[in-house]
Amino acid sequence: MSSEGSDHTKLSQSRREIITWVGSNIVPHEGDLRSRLRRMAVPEDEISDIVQDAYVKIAKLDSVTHIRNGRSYFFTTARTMLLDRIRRERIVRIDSMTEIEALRLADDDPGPERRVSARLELERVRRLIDGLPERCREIFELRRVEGVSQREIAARLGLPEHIVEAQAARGLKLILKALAREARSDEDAPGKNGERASDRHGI
Amino acid sequence: MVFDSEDAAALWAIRRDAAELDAAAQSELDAWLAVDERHAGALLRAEAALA
Repeated sequence: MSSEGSDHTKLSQSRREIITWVGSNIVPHEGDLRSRLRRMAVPEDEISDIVQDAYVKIAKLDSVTHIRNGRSYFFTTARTMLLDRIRRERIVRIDSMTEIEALRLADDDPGPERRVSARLELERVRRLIDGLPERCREIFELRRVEGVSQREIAARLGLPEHIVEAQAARGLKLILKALAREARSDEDAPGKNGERASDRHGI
Repeated sequence: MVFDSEDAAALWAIRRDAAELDAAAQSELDAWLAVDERHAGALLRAEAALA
Protein backbone atom coordinates (compact mmCIF):
# COMPACT_ATOMS: atom_id res chain seq x y z
CA MET A 1 0.00 0.00 0.00
CA SER A 2 2.02 2.82 -1.29
CA SER A 3 0.21 5.64 0.45
CA GLU A 4 0.43 4.22 3.92
CA GLY A 5 4.02 3.05 4.16
CA SER A 6 4.26 1.04 7.35
CA ASP A 7 1.47 2.89 9.11
CA HIS A 8 -1.30 0.33 9.00
CA THR A 9 -2.04 0.67 12.71
CA LYS A 10 -5.01 2.94 12.11
CA LEU A 11 -6.66 2.54 8.75
CA SER A 12 -6.59 5.79 6.84
CA GLN A 13 -9.79 7.25 5.47
CA SER A 14 -8.58 6.70 1.90
CA ARG A 15 -7.79 3.07 2.66
CA ARG A 16 -11.26 2.58 4.17
CA GLU A 17 -12.81 4.13 1.08
CA ILE A 18 -10.86 1.77 -1.18
CA ILE A 19 -11.88 -1.25 0.89
CA THR A 20 -15.53 -0.22 0.77
CA TRP A 21 -15.34 0.46 -2.96
CA VAL A 22 -13.73 -2.91 -3.65
CA GLY A 23 -16.42 -4.58 -1.55
CA SER A 24 -19.14 -2.94 -3.64
CA ASN A 25 -17.56 -2.79 -7.10
CA ILE A 26 -15.04 -5.63 -7.44
CA VAL A 27 -15.93 -8.51 -5.10
CA PRO A 28 -19.47 -8.89 -6.52
CA HIS A 29 -17.96 -9.57 -9.97
CA GLU A 30 -15.30 -12.06 -8.89
CA GLY A 31 -17.52 -15.08 -9.38
CA ASP A 32 -18.44 -14.00 -12.91
CA LEU A 33 -14.81 -13.36 -13.83
CA ARG A 34 -13.76 -16.76 -12.52
CA SER A 35 -16.62 -18.43 -14.39
CA ARG A 36 -15.58 -16.83 -17.66
CA LEU A 37 -11.95 -17.83 -17.17
CA ARG A 38 -13.06 -21.40 -16.41
CA ARG A 39 -15.08 -21.47 -19.62
CA MET A 40 -11.87 -20.51 -21.43
CA ALA A 41 -10.26 -23.60 -19.90
CA VAL A 42 -7.78 -21.55 -17.92
CA PRO A 43 -6.43 -23.86 -15.20
CA GLU A 44 -7.85 -23.24 -11.73
CA ASP A 45 -4.51 -22.30 -10.19
CA GLU A 46 -3.94 -19.80 -13.01
CA ILE A 47 -7.37 -18.32 -12.41
CA SER A 48 -6.58 -17.81 -8.75
CA ASP A 49 -3.26 -16.21 -9.64
CA ILE A 50 -4.89 -13.85 -12.15
CA VAL A 51 -7.64 -12.82 -9.75
CA GLN A 52 -5.17 -12.37 -6.92
CA ASP A 53 -2.87 -10.28 -9.10
CA ALA A 54 -5.81 -8.06 -9.96
CA TYR A 55 -6.43 -7.44 -6.25
CA VAL A 56 -2.71 -6.73 -5.81
CA LYS A 57 -2.90 -4.08 -8.51
CA ILE A 58 -5.85 -2.43 -6.80
CA ALA A 59 -4.14 -2.66 -3.41
CA LYS A 60 -1.29 -0.56 -4.78
CA LEU A 61 -3.60 2.30 -5.71
CA ASP A 62 -3.71 5.44 -3.60
CA SER A 63 -7.23 6.17 -4.79
CA VAL A 64 -9.96 4.57 -6.87
CA THR A 65 -11.82 7.76 -7.70
CA HIS A 66 -10.49 7.63 -11.29
CA ILE A 67 -12.11 4.24 -11.91
CA ARG A 68 -15.49 4.82 -13.52
CA ASN A 69 -16.54 1.19 -13.69
CA GLY A 70 -15.17 -1.37 -11.25
CA ARG A 71 -16.30 -4.38 -13.24
CA SER A 72 -14.67 -3.08 -16.40
CA TYR A 73 -11.45 -2.30 -14.52
CA PHE A 74 -11.41 -5.78 -12.94
CA PHE A 75 -12.06 -7.61 -16.22
CA THR A 76 -9.61 -5.44 -18.18
CA THR A 77 -6.90 -6.03 -15.58
CA ALA A 78 -7.55 -9.77 -15.67
CA ARG A 79 -7.48 -9.81 -19.46
CA THR A 80 -4.15 -7.95 -19.51
CA MET A 81 -2.69 -10.40 -17.03
CA LEU A 82 -3.99 -13.35 -18.99
CA LEU A 83 -2.43 -12.00 -22.18
CA ASP A 84 0.87 -11.44 -20.36
CA ARG A 85 0.81 -15.04 -19.20
CA ILE A 86 0.05 -16.32 -22.67
CA ARG A 87 2.93 -14.29 -24.08
CA ARG A 88 5.23 -15.77 -21.48
CA GLU A 89 3.76 -19.21 -22.29
CA ARG A 90 2.75 -19.76 -18.74
CA ILE A 91 -0.59 -20.99 -19.99
CA VAL A 92 -0.44 -23.80 -22.53
CA ARG A 93 -4.00 -24.14 -23.73
CA ILE A 94 -5.75 -21.15 -25.17
CA ASP A 95 -7.62 -22.02 -28.33
CA SER A 96 -7.93 -18.60 -29.83
CA MET A 97 -7.88 -14.91 -29.15
CA THR A 98 -11.63 -15.00 -29.61
CA GLU A 99 -11.85 -16.27 -26.08
CA ILE A 100 -9.83 -13.35 -24.81
CA GLU A 101 -12.14 -11.06 -26.73
CA ALA A 102 -15.04 -12.55 -24.81
CA LEU A 103 -13.54 -11.12 -21.63
CA ARG A 104 -13.46 -7.67 -23.20
CA LEU A 105 -17.11 -7.94 -24.16
CA ALA A 106 -17.95 -9.02 -20.63
CA ASP A 107 -16.47 -5.93 -19.03
CA ASP A 108 -18.76 -3.39 -20.67
CA ASP A 109 -20.73 -0.94 -18.60
CA PRO A 110 -23.16 -2.84 -16.44
CA GLY A 111 -26.53 -2.95 -18.12
CA PRO A 112 -29.66 -3.91 -16.25
CA GLU A 113 -28.85 -7.61 -16.43
CA ARG A 114 -25.37 -7.14 -14.99
CA ARG A 115 -26.63 -4.80 -12.30
CA VAL A 116 -29.05 -7.55 -11.36
CA SER A 117 -26.15 -10.00 -11.46
CA ALA A 118 -24.13 -7.86 -9.04
CA ARG A 119 -27.17 -7.52 -6.79
CA LEU A 120 -27.67 -11.27 -6.86
CA GLU A 121 -24.02 -11.71 -5.95
CA LEU A 122 -24.48 -9.47 -2.91
CA GLU A 123 -27.55 -11.48 -1.98
CA ARG A 124 -25.45 -14.59 -2.41
CA VAL A 125 -22.94 -13.22 0.10
CA ARG A 126 -25.79 -12.63 2.52
CA ARG A 127 -26.90 -16.24 1.95
CA LEU A 128 -23.37 -17.38 2.60
CA ILE A 129 -23.46 -15.62 5.95
CA ASP A 130 -26.80 -17.26 6.68
CA GLY A 131 -25.23 -20.62 5.86
CA LEU A 132 -22.23 -20.23 8.15
CA PRO A 133 -21.87 -22.53 11.12
CA GLU A 134 -24.09 -21.24 13.93
CA ARG A 135 -21.43 -19.65 16.13
CA CYS A 136 -19.71 -18.02 13.14
CA ARG A 137 -23.00 -16.66 11.85
CA GLU A 138 -24.01 -15.34 15.26
CA ILE A 139 -20.70 -13.50 15.62
CA PHE A 140 -20.79 -12.26 12.04
CA GLU A 141 -24.29 -10.86 12.44
CA LEU A 142 -23.52 -9.17 15.74
CA ARG A 143 -20.44 -7.53 14.24
CA ARG A 144 -21.57 -6.79 10.69
CA VAL A 145 -25.30 -6.17 11.12
CA GLU A 146 -25.57 -4.79 14.64
CA GLY A 147 -22.11 -3.22 14.77
CA VAL A 148 -21.27 -4.74 18.14
CA SER A 149 -17.58 -4.61 19.04
CA GLN A 150 -15.60 -7.82 19.25
CA ARG A 151 -15.04 -7.22 22.96
CA GLU A 152 -18.77 -6.75 23.56
CA ILE A 153 -19.57 -9.86 21.53
CA ALA A 154 -17.19 -11.84 23.71
CA ALA A 155 -18.92 -10.49 26.82
CA ARG A 156 -22.42 -11.20 25.50
CA LEU A 157 -21.56 -14.75 24.46
CA GLY A 158 -19.41 -15.47 27.50
CA LEU A 159 -16.44 -16.35 25.34
CA PRO A 160 -12.80 -15.31 25.44
CA GLU A 161 -12.12 -12.60 22.86
CA HIS A 162 -9.58 -14.75 21.03
CA ILE A 163 -12.29 -17.36 20.43
CA VAL A 164 -14.57 -14.71 18.97
CA GLU A 165 -11.70 -13.60 16.73
CA ALA A 166 -11.00 -17.17 15.62
CA GLN A 167 -14.67 -17.85 14.87
CA ALA A 168 -15.00 -14.61 12.91
CA ALA A 169 -11.87 -15.46 10.91
CA ARG A 170 -13.23 -18.94 10.26
CA GLY A 171 -16.45 -17.45 8.94
CA LEU A 172 -14.62 -15.00 6.72
CA LYS A 173 -12.41 -17.79 5.33
CA LEU A 174 -15.50 -19.81 4.42
CA ILE A 175 -17.00 -16.80 2.66
CA LEU A 176 -13.77 -16.11 0.75
CA LYS A 177 -13.55 -19.71 -0.38
CA ALA A 178 -17.18 -19.65 -1.48
CA LEU A 179 -16.60 -16.42 -3.41
CA ALA A 180 -13.83 -18.17 -5.32
CA ARG A 181 -16.14 -20.91 -6.50
CA GLU A 182 -18.31 -20.57 -9.52
CA ALA A 183 -21.68 -19.05 -8.68
CA ARG A 184 -24.04 -21.95 -8.42
CA SER A 185 -26.89 -20.50 -6.40
CA ASP A 186 -27.62 -22.45 -3.28
CA GLU A 187 -24.81 -24.92 -3.77
CA ASP A 188 -22.44 -22.23 -2.58
CA ALA A 189 -23.80 -21.93 0.90
CA PRO A 190 -21.38 -23.52 3.34
CA GLY A 191 -23.07 -26.08 5.55
CA LYS A 192 -23.30 -25.90 9.28
CA ASN A 193 -19.93 -27.59 9.52
CA GLY A 194 -18.43 -25.37 6.84
CA GLU A 195 -18.55 -27.89 4.00
CA ARG A 196 -19.94 -27.12 0.56
CA ALA A 197 -23.26 -28.52 -0.57
CA SER A 198 -21.37 -30.27 -3.38
CA ASP A 199 -19.16 -31.91 -0.75
CA ARG A 200 -22.20 -32.95 1.21
CA HIS A 201 -23.66 -34.55 -1.92
CA GLY A 202 -20.38 -36.25 -2.74
CA ILE A 203 -20.01 -34.41 -6.05
CA MET B 1 -5.87 -24.02 -3.24
CA VAL B 2 -7.57 -20.67 -3.60
CA PHE B 3 -5.05 -18.24 -2.19
CA ASP B 4 -1.93 -19.30 -0.33
CA SER B 5 -2.37 -16.30 1.88
CA GLU B 6 -6.14 -16.42 2.26
CA ASP B 7 -6.29 -17.80 5.78
CA ALA B 8 -3.77 -15.31 7.12
CA ALA B 9 -5.48 -12.48 5.26
CA ALA B 10 -8.83 -13.38 6.83
CA LEU B 11 -7.33 -13.31 10.30
CA TRP B 12 -5.64 -9.95 9.72
CA ALA B 13 -8.84 -8.53 8.28
CA ILE B 14 -10.76 -9.59 11.38
CA ARG B 15 -8.05 -8.20 13.66
CA ARG B 16 -7.96 -4.84 11.89
CA ASP B 17 -11.72 -4.67 11.90
CA ALA B 18 -11.89 -5.38 15.63
CA ALA B 19 -9.44 -2.79 16.88
CA GLU B 20 -6.35 -0.79 16.12
CA LEU B 21 -3.35 -3.07 16.12
CA ASP B 22 -0.83 -2.73 18.89
CA ALA B 23 2.83 -2.23 18.00
CA ALA B 24 3.70 -5.92 18.15
CA ALA B 25 0.77 -6.96 15.96
CA GLN B 26 1.55 -4.13 13.57
CA SER B 27 5.13 -5.34 13.20
CA GLU B 28 3.85 -8.84 12.57
CA LEU B 29 1.47 -7.58 9.89
CA ASP B 30 4.16 -5.45 8.26
CA ALA B 31 6.47 -8.46 8.15
CA TRP B 32 3.75 -10.59 6.57
CA LEU B 33 2.99 -7.93 3.97
CA ALA B 34 6.69 -7.60 3.18
CA VAL B 35 7.10 -11.30 2.45
CA ASP B 36 5.08 -11.25 -0.76
CA GLU B 37 3.27 -8.39 -2.53
CA ARG B 38 0.35 -10.74 -3.15
CA HIS B 39 -0.38 -10.61 0.56
CA ALA B 40 -1.55 -7.01 0.17
CA GLY B 41 -4.02 -8.15 -2.47
CA ALA B 42 -5.26 -10.98 -0.31
CA LEU B 43 -5.73 -8.61 2.62
CA LEU B 44 -7.65 -6.13 0.48
CA ARG B 45 -9.92 -8.90 -0.80
CA ALA B 46 -10.58 -10.17 2.74
CA GLU B 47 -11.27 -6.69 4.11
CA ALA B 48 -13.50 -5.89 1.15
CA ALA B 49 -15.51 -9.08 1.65
CA LEU B 50 -15.97 -7.97 5.23
CA ALA B 51 -16.97 -4.42 4.29
